[in-house]
Amino acid sequence: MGRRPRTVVEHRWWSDLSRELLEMIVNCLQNNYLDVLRFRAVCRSWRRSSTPLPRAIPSLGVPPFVINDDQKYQVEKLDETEGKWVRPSMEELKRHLLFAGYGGSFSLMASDFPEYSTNCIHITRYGPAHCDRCSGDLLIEAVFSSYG
Amino acid sequence: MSITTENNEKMITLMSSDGEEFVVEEAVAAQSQTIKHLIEDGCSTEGSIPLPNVTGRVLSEVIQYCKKHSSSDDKEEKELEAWDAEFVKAADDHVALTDLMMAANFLDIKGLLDLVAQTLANMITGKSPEEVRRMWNIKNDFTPEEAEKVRKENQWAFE
Repeated sequence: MGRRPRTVVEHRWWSDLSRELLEMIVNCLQNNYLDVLRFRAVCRSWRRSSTPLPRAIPSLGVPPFVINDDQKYQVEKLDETEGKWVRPSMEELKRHLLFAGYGGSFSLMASDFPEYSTNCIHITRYGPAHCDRCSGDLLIEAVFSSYG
Repeated sequence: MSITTENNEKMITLMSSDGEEFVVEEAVAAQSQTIKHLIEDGCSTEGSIPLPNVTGRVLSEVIQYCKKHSSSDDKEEKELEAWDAEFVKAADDHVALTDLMMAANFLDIKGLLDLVAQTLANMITGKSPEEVRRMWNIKNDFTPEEAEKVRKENQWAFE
């Protein structure tokens, strides 16, 4: 660090950055939800320049469950404003495809995968440890049964 | 800065906010949309183009970037990426990068703007707000009420 001597010392550089430029930095956070949250928690100008990422279906907490015919699945989603887990309504799931499995759960935009029904939760035999749109292979082929 | 005109390229003189003059090929200067428009509007015919928002130190870095990017074609994409990585590394720290970002924004050089924004974003990825504040010497200026709101929003994520 500090290869060149600096004449102006520690000006409030971050307040020099316009909202527009801060927004650009936020956009580079790869839509990583946690990083955007952290960004917003740094200071006022950073917070003003960003909005929380809308999440399709926010982290779905699927408690460990056993898959059998008479199993009732309980699915909750995190309400971020309240900081509570609540039951999502099927209405909310319409635009999303929700997959739940042993290892985790994830949702996709229904419009991207028209072959799956939207008004149900797809239970998968093997859940992914995590899922993002980039991991591609996912486990859509392993849909075990659908509930809803 | 010496003037070199080994080929027939038209040369443009740029003047930084602190009065430093840079003579560059028009093709290099035109990497900046702002300068390109100034040239098109005939602002470069007499004397130099003044750039009141950019210091000589930053302008020399910007020119370095523009030179590289005006002389490379698409085939050299990989090499260019490596060069970009070295370039931002040499910019040293967030203050220098911020200066560079503001200059890239004013001069409207999209590639450089994206590059610097991504570099700054990479520097804070995975770090807690407190770590970011310490690293970049940012004051936590939330009021107690705002701090509480932030805490609520982040509760589930950080605890």
